[in-house]
Amino acid sequence: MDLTTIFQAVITGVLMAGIYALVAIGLTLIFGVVRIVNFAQGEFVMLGMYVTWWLWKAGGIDPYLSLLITMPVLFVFGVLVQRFLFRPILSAPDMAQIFLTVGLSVVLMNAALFFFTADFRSVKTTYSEWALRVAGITLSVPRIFAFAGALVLAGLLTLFLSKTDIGKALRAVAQDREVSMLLGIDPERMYLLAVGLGAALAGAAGGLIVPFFYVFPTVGVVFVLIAFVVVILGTLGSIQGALLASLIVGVAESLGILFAGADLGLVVVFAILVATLILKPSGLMGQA
Amino acid sequence: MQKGRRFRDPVSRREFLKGAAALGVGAGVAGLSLQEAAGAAAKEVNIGVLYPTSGSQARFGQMCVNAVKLAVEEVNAAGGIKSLGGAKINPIYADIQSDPGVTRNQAERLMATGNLTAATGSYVSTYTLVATEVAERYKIPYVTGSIANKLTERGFKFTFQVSPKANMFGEMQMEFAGTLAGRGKRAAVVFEDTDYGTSTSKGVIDGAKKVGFEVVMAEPYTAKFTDATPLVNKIKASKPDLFFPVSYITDALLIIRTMKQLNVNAGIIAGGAGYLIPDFYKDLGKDAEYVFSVGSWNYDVNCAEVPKIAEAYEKRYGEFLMEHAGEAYVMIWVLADAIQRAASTDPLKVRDALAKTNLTKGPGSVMPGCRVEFDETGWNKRVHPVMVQWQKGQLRTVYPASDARVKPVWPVPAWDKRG
Repeated sequence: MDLTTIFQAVITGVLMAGIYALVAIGLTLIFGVVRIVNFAQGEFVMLGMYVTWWLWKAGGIDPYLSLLITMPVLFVFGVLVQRFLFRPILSAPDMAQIFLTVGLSVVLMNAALFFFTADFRSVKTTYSEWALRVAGITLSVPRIFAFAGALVLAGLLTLFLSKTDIGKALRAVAQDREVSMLLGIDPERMYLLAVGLGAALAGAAGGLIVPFFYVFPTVGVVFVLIAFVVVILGTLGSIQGALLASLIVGVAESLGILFAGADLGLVVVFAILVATLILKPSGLMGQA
Repeated sequence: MQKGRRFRDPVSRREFLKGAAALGVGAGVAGLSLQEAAGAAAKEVNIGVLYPTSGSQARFGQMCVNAVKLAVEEVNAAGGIKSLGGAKINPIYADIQSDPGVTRNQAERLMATGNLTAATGSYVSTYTLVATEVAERYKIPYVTGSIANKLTERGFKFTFQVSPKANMFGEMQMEFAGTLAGRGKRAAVVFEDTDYGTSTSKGVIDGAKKVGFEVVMAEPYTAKFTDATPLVNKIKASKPDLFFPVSYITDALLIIRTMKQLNVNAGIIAGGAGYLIPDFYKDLGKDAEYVFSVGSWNYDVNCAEVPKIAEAYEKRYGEFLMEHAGEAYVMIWVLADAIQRAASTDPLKVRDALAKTNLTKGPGSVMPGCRVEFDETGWNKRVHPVMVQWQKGQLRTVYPASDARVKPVWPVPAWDKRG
């Protein structure tokens, strides 16, 4: 095993981490604020991918440009989901909430199957297959874009949460709903915002994935499992944690495939998850 | 209450009576036609059709259902089952949702009704193994295009397999690779880690050693990856001359795309499925060129009726008739032939007729070898796999000689030498 091969694996893992982070941050944001574990997050990504694909197919709009449309569309979708689906069961037992979001995921998957059929779609852009070659290492250009896009969006979100009044209000609701109400914050509106943002991030992930991946009704399943690992590893509700955890997961998966075996990449990831949870049950960012 | 009254009020008594009378007449007419149907033997023959049209296998499943629809229409348009007074075939579709548990339930649901004559379905061995167990219990003949050897090696009386068996695929690939490339080559084998990949890969790995290849990599992988780079990176490090992947769809596409990106040049001799569907060329375009694969069927199979069938399918569905769908089509005609000879809708009689099947012409015979004849285990002993290659956007049969329509393009040009 020469050094180039190992280096290639590390870089590939880092690039994958960008996408994992975007899906996971949406998930962790919704959980952090609304306290709902959204099992349909993967299907939100799928919707984002179909919107992007459709805009490209019907309107010839470049996937990156269409982020400007995809994200607002998904934001509105998220707001509607919160208003009409999540809100009525916020005080219901956990089990009811799980059934609702799992049910939503099944409905969305089958709706996509109905409207778009099971065909595998892809967007062909001039840069889909561009690759940079540096010292024997190949870097896929759309993956670099996706990684950069994920970093930018995560940065913007962090800024929004720490610098703006609305962002601070969102964090206040996440920390303590009752006290935030005393301060004159309307938690219901913050919930709408949180789920909207979470869905918009999923939409962004979808848009950034499309140039190098395929769109099909069950594509969400591929991403959501990893997103859950990332969110738990990085402590539920923590954005910095999700970023750090996605890097660990991406690189561990890639190196795992290289050294342990091509079907053992995820085994390495789960081993790290289990080990972390034994040593630090609340995840990397939690209190020990 | 208010609502109820408003609903009832506008219907006067006279109108009500009129309506009731009309209903009575209607019922009388319907009763008559029902009796007529029973008397004049224009019955329907119920056939259970089990394919996954949702879940991970939905793409393949829907293509198969399309092919079944075409075959059923053709059988019925040609006068149905003549020995039963022109009875029509009535397909009862069941979505097995890419899940063995659902497959069991759906098979039970269809077969427990007691009015099923036969069943057909699923190219996925994992599901068919379950479905045929149920069929054996209910004594319903089940015709399948799945390839697992086990299917017809369990001593079952009601399972009929039209397709080549799993071990034949690896043997065929290696026989072909040996003729093509000569001995002593470095071979890399990767396969997705479910039943399909692991069962076919064994034949490939054993076969490679037998032909005198050096197996430099043999590894299962999880098909649900989002990036093939780690896998292809590893393949690249093993420096293969020949590359044997066994994949579904997205993994197949990502592997080829990434091989191009990382400039990994090896003759690609795939194990079917994802490499044989319209999506493969639609997505990869020119990069799909020169990829070889083994298959249990292809739309240029060397039998007289095939061009017409392939054309009818393509005209209707706008894409070519792929491997599994071709078999799905053939199986409906195999069933129609058996029911015709049994002259009965009784599953037991149809089973006995199936066992005596010997089709040498017509749309029921168009498996590679152009003949369908079951041995005592229920396997079509006349069939063999074929080798195909993507050439100028077409999937063409290149091996064995008896089936080849064009010559294989070999050696395959390097990625950076292609126009």
